[in-house]
Amino acid sequence: MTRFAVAFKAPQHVNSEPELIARTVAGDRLAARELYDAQAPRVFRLAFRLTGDEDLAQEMTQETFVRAFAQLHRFRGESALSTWMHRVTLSVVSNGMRKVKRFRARETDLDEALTISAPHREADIDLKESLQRAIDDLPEIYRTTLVMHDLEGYTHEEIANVLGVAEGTSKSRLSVARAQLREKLAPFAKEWTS
Amino acid sequence: MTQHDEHTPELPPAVRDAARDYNRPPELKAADLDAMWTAIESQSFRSDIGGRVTDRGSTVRELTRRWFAPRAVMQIAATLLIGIAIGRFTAGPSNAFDSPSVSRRMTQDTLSLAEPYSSTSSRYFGQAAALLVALPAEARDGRADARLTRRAHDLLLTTRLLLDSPVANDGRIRNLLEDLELVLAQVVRLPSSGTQGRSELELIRQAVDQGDVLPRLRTVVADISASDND
Repeated sequence: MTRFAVAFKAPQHVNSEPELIARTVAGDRLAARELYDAQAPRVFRLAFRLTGDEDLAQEMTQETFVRAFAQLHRFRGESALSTWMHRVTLSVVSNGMRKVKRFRARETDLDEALTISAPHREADIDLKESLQRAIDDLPEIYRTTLVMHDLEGYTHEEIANVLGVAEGTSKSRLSVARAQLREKLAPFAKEWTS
Repeated sequence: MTQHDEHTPELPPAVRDAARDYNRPPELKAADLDAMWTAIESQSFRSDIGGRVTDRGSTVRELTRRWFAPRAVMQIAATLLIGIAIGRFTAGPSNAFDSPSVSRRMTQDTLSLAEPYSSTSSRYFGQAAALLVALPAEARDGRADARLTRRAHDLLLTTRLLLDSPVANDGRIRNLLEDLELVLAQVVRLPSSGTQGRSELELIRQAVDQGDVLPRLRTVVADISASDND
């Protein structure tokens, strides 16, 4: 046992991100798993915020990593790996949601044809529901910026890097997104000022 | 909100608070992470027997680059490489196209490996057995400390190196190495905290039991030792 104890006294080594990336590119699953463990929770959070569906978010997280690992040899380290991963996430989510929306639109058309919808009672809709709907209805570039900044706490610098735009563009998109929300939520102005 | 948006009018506090609940992500469970990983792994990494990632075009230099970074495996790895080199130099012209020469003789009870494979393999199998025997005590409640994880990780690297060496030409050793690879990979993934590891540890125990891993390890070590004494 002593012999083994001596043999097991390996020096402490912490795998750096560039080392993990190089090993992953070379086919090392353990290194890939380490990268995955470090990045997956935030990738999933972002995917969930943008899809609102756990299964979809998981599917898109998987797709993000499959795509990221396939393209990892092209990653030059010019930005942080997390930034690059989030760029892939947004691309995957954006493409995925387009398909989902098309599918849901067909489903809705079918439902409307088969049922007589109940009259809409505005009074039943509270601030949260209205807000949910208002954010859902924002154009994608504004919604993404708002979700990343106000809900997930990304800085404008990070958003700009992920989306490949100037920081000023990120700020201006956030401003537009907030203005549109204010406008849509105007009926609740009393509620939020009380 | 942050220093970056001082010129962007804030949302009213009530709206801001309500917005935080917009598509609020659930806590990602370890089981979900593992399930996603399984799907990612199967799509991203090609594998051969035992799910091992290999690069068929890899050379000894490539293996060196890929696996030798952890200093803990340097000694064993270096010994294996010297063995391959010696095997190639001593191989006669008649078998120049054979795999690196390992004087290997299999009988029912003995397993003869030429040096340096014999001592290296014996040491490795001994270390693997020690880790598996100590595992229930060291990973109590399924929690593995950094030292245990590192030991398992280093042994896993050695396992893969051995799988790519002439030692694995022997079917019995190859099967054992492949089983050890799976078990060690599970040990490496044991969490350092929480209770999730309990079920993982139980799965490892079942894998070790069902595969008769420990008895096979002992047999192989004994056979190598016996043949050394011949």
